[in-house]
Amino acid sequence: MDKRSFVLSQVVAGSLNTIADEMSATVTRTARSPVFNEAHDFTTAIFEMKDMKSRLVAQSPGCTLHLYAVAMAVDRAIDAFKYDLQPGDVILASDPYNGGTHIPDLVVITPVFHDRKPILFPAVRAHMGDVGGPVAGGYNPHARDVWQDGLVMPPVKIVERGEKRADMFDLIVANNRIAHWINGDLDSMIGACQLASRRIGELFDRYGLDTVRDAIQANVDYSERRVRAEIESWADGEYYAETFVDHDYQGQRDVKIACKAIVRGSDLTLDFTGTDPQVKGFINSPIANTMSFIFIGLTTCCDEDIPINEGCMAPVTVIAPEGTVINPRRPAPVGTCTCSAGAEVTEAVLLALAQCAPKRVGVNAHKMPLVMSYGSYDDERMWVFLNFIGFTGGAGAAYETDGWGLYPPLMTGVILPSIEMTEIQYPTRILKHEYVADQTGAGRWRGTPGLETITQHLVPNQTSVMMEGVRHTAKGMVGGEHGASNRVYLATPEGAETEIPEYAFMHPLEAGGAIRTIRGGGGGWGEAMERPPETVREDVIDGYVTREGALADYGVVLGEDLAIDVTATEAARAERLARAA
Amino acid sequence: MSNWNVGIDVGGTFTDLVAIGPNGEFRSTKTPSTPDQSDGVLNALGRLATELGLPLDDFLGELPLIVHGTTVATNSLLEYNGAKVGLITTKGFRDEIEFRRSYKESVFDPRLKPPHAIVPRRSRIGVAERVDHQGNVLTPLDEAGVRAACEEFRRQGVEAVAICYLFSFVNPAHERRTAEIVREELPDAFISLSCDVLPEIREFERVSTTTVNAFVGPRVNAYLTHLEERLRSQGFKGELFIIQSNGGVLSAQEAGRYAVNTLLSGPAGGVTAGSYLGEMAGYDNLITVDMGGTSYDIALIENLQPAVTTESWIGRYRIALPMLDIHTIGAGGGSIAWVDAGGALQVGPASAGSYPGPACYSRGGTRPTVTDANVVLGLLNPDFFLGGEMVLDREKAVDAVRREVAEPLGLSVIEAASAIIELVNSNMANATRLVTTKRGRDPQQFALVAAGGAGGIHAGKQAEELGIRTVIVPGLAPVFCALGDNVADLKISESRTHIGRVDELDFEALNTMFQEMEQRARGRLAGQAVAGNFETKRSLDMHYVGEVHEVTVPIRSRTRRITKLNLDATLGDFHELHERLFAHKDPSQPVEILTLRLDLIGVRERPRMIPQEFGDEDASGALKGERQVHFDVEPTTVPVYNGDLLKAGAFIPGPAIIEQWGTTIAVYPGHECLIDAYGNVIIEIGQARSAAERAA
Repeated sequence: MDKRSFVLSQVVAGSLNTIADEMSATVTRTARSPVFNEAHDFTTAIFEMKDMKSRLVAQSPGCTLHLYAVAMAVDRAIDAFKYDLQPGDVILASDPYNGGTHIPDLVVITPVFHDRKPILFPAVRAHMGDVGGPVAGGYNPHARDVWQDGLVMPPVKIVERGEKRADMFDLIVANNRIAHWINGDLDSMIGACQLASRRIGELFDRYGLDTVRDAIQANVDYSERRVRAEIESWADGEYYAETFVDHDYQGQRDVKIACKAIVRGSDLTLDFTGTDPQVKGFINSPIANTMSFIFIGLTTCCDEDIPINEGCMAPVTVIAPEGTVINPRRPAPVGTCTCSAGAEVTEAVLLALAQCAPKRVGVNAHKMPLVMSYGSYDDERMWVFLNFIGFTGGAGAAYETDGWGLYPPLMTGVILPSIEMTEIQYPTRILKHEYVADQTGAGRWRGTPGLETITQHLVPNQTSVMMEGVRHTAKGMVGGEHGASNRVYLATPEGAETEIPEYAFMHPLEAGGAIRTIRGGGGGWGEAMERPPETVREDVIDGYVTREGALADYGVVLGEDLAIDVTATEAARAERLARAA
Repeated sequence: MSNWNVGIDVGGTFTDLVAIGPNGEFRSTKTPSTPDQSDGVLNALGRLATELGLPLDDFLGELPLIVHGTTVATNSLLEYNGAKVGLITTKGFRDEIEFRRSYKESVFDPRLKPPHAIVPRRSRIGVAERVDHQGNVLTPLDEAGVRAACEEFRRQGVEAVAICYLFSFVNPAHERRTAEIVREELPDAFISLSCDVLPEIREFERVSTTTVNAFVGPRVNAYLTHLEERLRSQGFKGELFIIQSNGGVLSAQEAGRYAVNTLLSGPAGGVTAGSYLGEMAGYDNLITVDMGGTSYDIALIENLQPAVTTESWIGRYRIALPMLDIHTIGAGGGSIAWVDAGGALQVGPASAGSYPGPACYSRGGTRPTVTDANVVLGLLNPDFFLGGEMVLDREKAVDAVRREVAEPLGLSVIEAASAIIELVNSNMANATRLVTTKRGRDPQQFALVAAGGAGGIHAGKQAEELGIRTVIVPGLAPVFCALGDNVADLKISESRTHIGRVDELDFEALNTMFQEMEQRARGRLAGQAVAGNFETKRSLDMHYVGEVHEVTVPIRSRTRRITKLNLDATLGDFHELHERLFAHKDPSQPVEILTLRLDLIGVRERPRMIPQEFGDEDASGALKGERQVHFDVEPTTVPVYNGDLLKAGAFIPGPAIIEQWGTTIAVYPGHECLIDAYGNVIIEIGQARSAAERAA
């Protein structure tokens, strides 16, 4: 390579990522649904058409679980309009069986042309506040097929040669409960794609098409080299792991996700053979969603500075048998796939890789207690409240790092809505939002603490609860303990609580009734008995762990004054190790 | 003597002073910064007094005003050595500062460490109380709980108490009462109240800002008190002012109360100087860049007004106050070039700093830096660094570039050095582009002001890349921040959240609130004798109902009231601004007001520089020789000028190098430059070359 190529590959990569950042800044500020603009549940990225297939070339860090799925959506969009793509077109899609995840995630894509050929495809995928369908907000635990999840949108043009298609907008708006959100959200996503289209045009003008494509290739090759070097550092072998989704909301429990990681030199095969067949309920994860969660698992095991693009996946072969819960056939329902079984896909990958790359795996799963409330204002307008504060949490530990903050990395693009904003936007009051002691996976490094929240709606409403992580909680790694169970209680205004073990569908709550959640913390990393007693004591002083918890979870004996009883601690730890052996 | 103005900026390496005399004469000095920053300040003042032939006491005795930019707050936050803080919150909400709304700096890295806890959980205590979003008290304040918290803080040796309750921006009574109790219980503690520091919606942003204020407050206060005592003991009778993150100045006492406002006290001076320079040189829209040893600061100035943001993170803590929007990336003369594990060339963000510094400094540094690459390419003269005060070793630079970049990549040393420079230029240009486009602006409509020691070498190339036509290298580039300290106005930024739809507004309430804000601001500026005239600027943070981010829209009316008429005009401006920033608008959507903002500006008379008569175009009188420079891989022989001898009106076509004390300016092939009446170097960027490239 000569000097120019070295420099240009960096310069063009920098420019493309800057464009993705600009798109992200645009949608963050202009979208209307809170799940989108306040929670940042979206991703922006740029794809290249190469050999009739699209590949990821640049992205802006957002909600990472959308990212890799978008590539498949771009593929399907190209297929759908193969000979009919024009400059200024913007395509929208949400079909889970055409590169989609779950239906509330809409993807918007625009082709950018050079010399009459579509070359690059900037895209935004975002979670909408509502997309119509049988249940507001899009989570229907009773769904028995994808049409009961919601309105399936195949790739359609919503802007044609720069002109908005009013008929398509009308169709989407007519099928939406919150018209002013969806209109603004679509405008915002289209605006971001159009901005990117202009910028990419400038890039072509500046450097010429060949230079841009060569630079992209150099970057993709570069990421591939880095990921291969990482895989090469792992011992060759086959590493099997399995994990479970609690239930499928239709009576089936302990749905298995199996993953065998086969490491050969710098190649990695992830074979999901042995995973349970697709299920009746809406936890099925369509292949695009599964690929996204595999991508997250792998990238978090690699160096943080590797550019995120298609090259990262080049060393990886995925075997995902069709007809299983991680690659279902139409029309299996998929409504909650971005939670479970998506999270368990990442978890299975990490549990397998933990056996050959223990210092690289962080605990990433985000099994959550998903709570949604629905009600109407006096003027009949509907409100949908996705209870972010109750499920945002659960970061696991990693080597040399206690879990901290709320979400694990794969979800940290998602920003928790402000409590004060929430109370202004909804007839709602948040009464508690705080860590709770002893509800996390212990370990040499522990998970982020568990979380307790209380949400009160001041008007009558219907509340749905979807429980995950009750029986199969966030996994500990490398000898670390699992996180605690999630719990959700619905309370009457008088305070009588009912625990929801698996799910509740449109449960009527009176004005002043409350929803209390205990969100289990993340999994630990390494043996809890190896955590230095002084560190455990610090956790007790900070209230992350109680004195009782210090003994129960870590074998550390603290006196009334919180002084470490060294002899008793050694004895307690020795006894536990003996018992374990 | 009585009309001298003095600005002193303490930087990481040097303490800079600019003094402006009664007849517009300028003096500047540069002395090394000291661990106790007041030593450097006194040294700089001593040097100036000596230059003026006066004993320091006499000089200080006559001095009406010192404006100071200090990094005490910044350092204590970045080094996490601030005060021991206790935090009181609404019961059930003490962890918001640790939750950070779930934000993490890296979304792919499970090994990312948490930020240093400036208030660990043991020092965060929830107290029963609750106010709703309309200000109604739902739960009265548990005063005994506050006293118990104080008792715990006393036991822990807490020096500063931050207080932040939910919805205190609507009804601050509980916070104020809590402060009274804390004052009784812990009379020596520094108190930081969220309803004073940032009376705005969003609890995480508020608690983070309020806690940082408590964390840095005692250190800043101690420093300012100490400095003022030392100045007084040397005879200073004038006023000591501190430059704030919003670009305005405030009395040392006021600055100490809201120390979080001084986090950008250093770089704020440079931006303010940029708008002063623009006014003087006739450019209203500027991008100021300051390239020093470790960082590259970018700021935008439109219509001579520096851009302001409320979205800053400093030291991994969220600061939601209006601050000059200064975007910093790790690119400077000391930035290290390296080949990473995948064989890609990288420059920065790690820096060799001043010690050991670039390889060519001969202080033991072995890693190649941007400065080394500049020396290799002949852009920097090794014998004229800091005007020759320091001699650089070109051989060491060549060795470092060869060993760590050229050989691993299979390039020649010149190719490698040239690649390093191209890459750092591109990194800086990308960052600059994002700063402008995020505001819906095109960099081509701006002039680039290049300050800092390393700015003048790189500016021409970045301007080319960004399509910018004019680069200005200020005559006072090496002491630019201290210049800004001299010309900054007094400024108080007040804000108050008041939520309501535009079509349902209570004008009376709105006007009362603005009046209260103005009164409070005037109170804070009372007692100073520096500014006679005051200006108020009102603006509204607005959004379409449902949007959660706001657009700050200035109210363009001279009347002091909000009326239907000027609100309608403001609403029109909102739609336009929304479209500019976000590519769409929808006047049929309902619009909501979220936060009222008021800037009270005490206008200082700006010192005028004395323009020089334009002389001959011929610059040959300043010619000091020629040398080979590699603008690209091939060398070119170029003339070298002594910048200190260049006169107003001199014209130099590129390629050329201008060397002056503290900075070197590269005039690239196809560019040409002119010395203006104030000693600024104005470079016109040839666009022909890039247009030709585009055509090809």
